[in-house]
Amino acid sequence: MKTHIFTISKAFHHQKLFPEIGQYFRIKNMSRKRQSQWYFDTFDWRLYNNGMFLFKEKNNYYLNSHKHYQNLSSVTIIPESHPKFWWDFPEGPFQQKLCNLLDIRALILLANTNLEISSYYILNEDNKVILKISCTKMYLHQNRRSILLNKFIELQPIRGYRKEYQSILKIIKNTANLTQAPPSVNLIFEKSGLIPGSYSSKMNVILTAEMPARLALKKILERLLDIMRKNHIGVKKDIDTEFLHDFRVSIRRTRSALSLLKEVFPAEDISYFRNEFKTLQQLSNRLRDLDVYILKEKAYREILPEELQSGLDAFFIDLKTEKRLEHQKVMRILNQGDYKNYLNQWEKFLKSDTLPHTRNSAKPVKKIASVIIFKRFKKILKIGERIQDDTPEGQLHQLRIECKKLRYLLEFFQSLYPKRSMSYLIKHLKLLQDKLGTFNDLSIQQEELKKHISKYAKNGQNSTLVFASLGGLIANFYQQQLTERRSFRDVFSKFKAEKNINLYHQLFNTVPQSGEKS
Amino acid sequence: MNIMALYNIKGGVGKTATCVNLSYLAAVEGASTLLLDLDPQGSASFYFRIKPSKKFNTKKFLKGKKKIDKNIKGTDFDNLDLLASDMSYRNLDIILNDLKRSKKQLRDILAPFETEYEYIFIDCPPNITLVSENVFFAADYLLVPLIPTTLSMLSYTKLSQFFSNHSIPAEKILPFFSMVEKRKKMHQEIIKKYQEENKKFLKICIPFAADVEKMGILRKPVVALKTNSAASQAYQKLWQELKMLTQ
Repeated sequence: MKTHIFTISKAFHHQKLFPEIGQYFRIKNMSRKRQSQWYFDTFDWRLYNNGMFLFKEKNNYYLNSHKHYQNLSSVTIIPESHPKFWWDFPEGPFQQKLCNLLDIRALILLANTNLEISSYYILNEDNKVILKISCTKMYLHQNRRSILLNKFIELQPIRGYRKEYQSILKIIKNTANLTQAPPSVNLIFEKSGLIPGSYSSKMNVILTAEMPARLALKKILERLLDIMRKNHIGVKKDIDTEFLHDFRVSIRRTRSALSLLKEVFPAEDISYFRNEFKTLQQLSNRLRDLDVYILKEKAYREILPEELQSGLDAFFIDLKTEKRLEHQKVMRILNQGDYKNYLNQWEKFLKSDTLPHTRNSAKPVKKIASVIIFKRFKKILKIGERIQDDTPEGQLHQLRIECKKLRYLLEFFQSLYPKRSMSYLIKHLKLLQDKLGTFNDLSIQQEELKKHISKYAKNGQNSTLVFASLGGLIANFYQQQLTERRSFRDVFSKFKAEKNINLYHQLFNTVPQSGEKS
Repeated sequence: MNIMALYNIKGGVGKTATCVNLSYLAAVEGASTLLLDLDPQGSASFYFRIKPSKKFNTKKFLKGKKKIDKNIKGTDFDNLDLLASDMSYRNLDIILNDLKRSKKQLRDILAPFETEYEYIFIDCPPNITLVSENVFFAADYLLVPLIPTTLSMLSYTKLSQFFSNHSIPAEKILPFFSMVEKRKKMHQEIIKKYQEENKKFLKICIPFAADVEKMGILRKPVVALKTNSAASQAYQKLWQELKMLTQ
């Protein structure tokens, strides 16, 4: 039967419940045990944002819903291990659920609680159990200290003894101040000093139309700096690949913002910072590429027939070795004083209010935003139109970069325009970006594979299996690329569909179109 | 849903003890399990300290799902429910006789529990009446405990004949030896003879044990009370063997 959980006040001692119940029923002391629980979520709170939480108790992992603490799925791991990604869990429904929720993010240990559980059976005149009660004290264990978080009682009625359950529940309600709610998992996080759902790599900057451009840009850049800093620890510890990714995206967004919004800050300052950010980004280019290849290991192997798969072992061992070295390099830089000073300098610059005025610094932001968004949009249409099946790859690359710029602008200034229209535009732009991204990835991957082939040939690698497997992948990627290319016009024609074009005009075109009179 | 009935024409052969312990073992493994006590003596109900409610009787039982739902009770153990027997069950066969499909009634009654229970164990009254015939049709397996004595084996032969005369699949019958006394030479000889001649006989035998008799005083399955006793071990092995055979 379903159990019912009630929270009781921290000051109430559960022993006080029993004298009254004892007048009508026998109470049997069953057990007192201690149990530890470990709570996990991803850095960007993917479980929390989906109304769920995950905890470990002994060898068992439980995925519960915030609502009524209801268990959604559980799994036992024998022997005990410390799974980090969804694919570290045993195959089955639990793994499948996590796969959909976590994607490539790692689980991070967020909190540890200790439970003190006293269990009792309530018996009738035949000494038959009619209700099971457990009283739990939940402590948060933090920095070698335990603080009492809350107390709750769990009633497990026995089928066929409903009347008895009702009368005992009445007694309990009269004695203790009950709230019919399970202990909140938020409390555990909050008391651990965490704010559930607090991190997101999304822009989420709120601007107003009349806000001076400089102030608006400062807000955007401060938000990006915050994301960079928040991801440091994860990059250093190499918890998962998304820390570096988010870190790099915020640098790229910063660079984009600085180059696209001209004369909002003094040009000479900006050129210094832009250069520094460029160097910083380039330092981790290789590490990011390696991350992406290593994530694709399973997919790479599955492309090949089984007998060729082991040919990739050497390739992935190489990549992983290189990744360790690259990671050390990036870590050294992030730990360096120079880098920290640089970010502080940047922060100080953003906070400074003594900078001289520039041509665009005081202009209302919406006006500037509209102009540059529209300009980017027109440029994309122009480049896209020119692309035919035989256009050199370089132009697709250029289009991809332009789309990225437009995407950043739409995200920076999202709050200035109607929400639904912006979501629509971003969604359609994303479709085009995905296409171009896939095409570009296929290109880079072929280059990487060819590079390794030359290296192995030079080093006197004599396993034909190695060459066959790498060659097999190249052929596959080449074919995929051709297919992608052939479907480009389809995707692009969706992008330049009337509704999309009209929306851009309607939202961002500040210059009246020819033929119209203002 | 797997319906397993514990049956023998004779009483006092360890039927109820086996039924109680096997259903407990199924529940401990996490399978939702119902013990259906059809014996008006109500020994299985007694072991679990469950009395039928005053309003429950044969007529209610035959009405099926809703009335039965109301009267199923949870035992002290997770996943194990029980429908207690009532003294009025002594007339069950007379009432069945007046009904249509008088041999298939039990099967119809249990069908709606398909989704709720993985196992239903039936403790049958020791006789051969219309109630028994209903059990023969409803059960997927008929577990027949036999004391290794000549008369007991005779009852087994009669049961097999009954099955073939009434075209009930004989594969349903799973005989096993119960209340076996190691030091009795005759017991050993009969076991050896039957297990060799007839491959249907289960390999595991349940020993005669004081612990099993004490269940009446302590009112709990011996497997729950003394996990390591000889009898408990035998029940656990029997359960494993049964699972292998029936899955």
